[in-house]
Amino acid sequence: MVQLREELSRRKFVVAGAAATAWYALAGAATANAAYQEINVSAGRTLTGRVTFHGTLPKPDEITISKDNTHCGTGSVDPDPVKVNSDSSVHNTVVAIQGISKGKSWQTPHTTPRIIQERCRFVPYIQLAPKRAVLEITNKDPLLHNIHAYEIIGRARRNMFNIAQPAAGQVDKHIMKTRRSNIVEVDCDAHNWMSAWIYLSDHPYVTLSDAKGNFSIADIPAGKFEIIAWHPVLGKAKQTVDIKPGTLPNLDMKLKI
Amino acid sequence: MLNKRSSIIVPLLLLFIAQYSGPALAAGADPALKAAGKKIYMRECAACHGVEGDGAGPGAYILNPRPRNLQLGVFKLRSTPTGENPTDQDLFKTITRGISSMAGAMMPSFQELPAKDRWALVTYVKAVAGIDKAGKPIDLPTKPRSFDLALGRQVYERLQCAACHGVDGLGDGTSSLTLKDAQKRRIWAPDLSRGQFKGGAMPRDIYTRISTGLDGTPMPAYASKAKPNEIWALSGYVLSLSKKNIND
Ligand code: HEC
Ligand code: HEC
Repeated sequence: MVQLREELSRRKFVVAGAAATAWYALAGAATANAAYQEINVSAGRTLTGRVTFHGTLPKPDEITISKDNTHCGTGSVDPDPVKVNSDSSVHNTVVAIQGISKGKSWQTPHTTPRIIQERCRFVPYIQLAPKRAVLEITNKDPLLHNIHAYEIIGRARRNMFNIAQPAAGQVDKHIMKTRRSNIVEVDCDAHNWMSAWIYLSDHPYVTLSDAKGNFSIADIPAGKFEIIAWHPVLGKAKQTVDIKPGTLPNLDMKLKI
Repeated sequence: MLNKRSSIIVPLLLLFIAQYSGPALAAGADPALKAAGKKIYMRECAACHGVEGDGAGPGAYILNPRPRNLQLGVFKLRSTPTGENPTDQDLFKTITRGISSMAGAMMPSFQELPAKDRWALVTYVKAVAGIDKAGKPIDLPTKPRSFDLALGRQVYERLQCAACHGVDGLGDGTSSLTLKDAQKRRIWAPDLSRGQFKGGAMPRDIYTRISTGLDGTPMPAYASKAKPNEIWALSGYVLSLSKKNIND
């Protein structure tokens, strides 16, 4: 059923696609220019909450470490490991406010996103970065990795770049150009258990839930905003919050696959 | 006399330029050309690439790899760095040559179509793909007189092409068994000794593929990982796997 619905919405995307493509080509350039505006936020508010998951967990993916065992280890790996705590809370979920056009400034480390390949794993597994940021990629292993980034558009994976790093110590930098999605998947074709995610945002009102599923986003100017949560495996959640004087709700972002 | 002749030659030359590079200069902005391209596309391409260019034409399901979803604007055969748009010439070349692999022809050659029709198709494909600006090709340094095949073999080892293509280039590398394309369909690193290349078998084609990768596939870009003379030697080595007398 979910499958069918996705299929249908993909179809819709495809039909709209032809008309939309030309528009996106222009909009792509336009969004880059109509940039987020950094201002001093006085009396900004802090939004807190928790990310939870209640449905049936999907079966974990087990991929055998089939090569380069001296450096990569042995056994099997779940490329996208999911851990839901006993109180249903979920770690490593993106929580983002939608449609903020001005506010606080981006802080490190997000301004200089980095990804490291070490013992045939990507570190970090998930991170946040400004749209069109330059990603710095380092190989610490004495063997070939190829860093392969895709923009996830519905069910389509749109190739962003694919760079070989055949030796330890190699560093590459590449701009993360996307057309219409915020979600970037990173793979290594040489080691099919390696996986990482980057969430690109127009503005810094975005965070990751901690190990206990908690999150907080500070310095939010007044206004009514949509808040979204996204997890690479456990799906999405959406809520609307009015940021105004007085007590703010402690959000429960309930993920749905 | 001379003047008279050049007054014929110049317009002819202009006509030639208009026909062969005019659309390239117009860079997808010419609505008449785009409309002409669309008409030819519906006749020649839609059966595989779909009426919307989404790669889902009625004949698509029997092909592997599938006909490209042109809307995504991702191209394997580029002279431009990984992640960049192809040049108009790259697309013109693909349409002219078609695409054949060791598994046979997947996309027919359209060299029978008049050049102006193929340029109109380039304009239309770019519009479907959302390409507003062509990419900038990589530098292609002068080809050496002969290839240093021993160096080429060394570079093949150093760059670990063997991980996918195998120690002897037969497509049997340890990673080859788990490769997938952007659509998560199985894809294989080709047996380089078969001498069948999607983007052409000229040394400069191989140089370009190694430098820029084939976007949407596991084949990565190696541009910054070896010096130009090393990539030339490697290109010669790759070709020597199928052509014994590459240096003659
Ligand atoms: C018989 C089916 C078929 C027909 C007809 C066909 N194509 Fe293709 N085309 C394919 C397949 C299959 C691929 C993907 C090959 C691959 O991914 O290796 C492809 C790929 C492409 C690409 C991508 C090349 C690249 O660099 O990645 C372009 C552009 C293209 N086709 C344009 C056209 C145009 C224009 C026409 C009509 C003139 C056309 N095709 C007709 C099957 C077809
Ligand atoms: C991670 C796996 C991987 C690595 C590493 C790799 N390749 Fe490839 N290569 C592929 C795949 C997969 C294809 C087929 C793509 C397709 O047909 O769509 C390919 C295709 C090719 C082609 C054919 C291009 C064409 O026009 O059809 C050549 C030549 C090639 N590779 C050379 C090399 C060389 C030389 C190296 C090392 C510098 C290398 N490859 C490293 C996976 C890899």
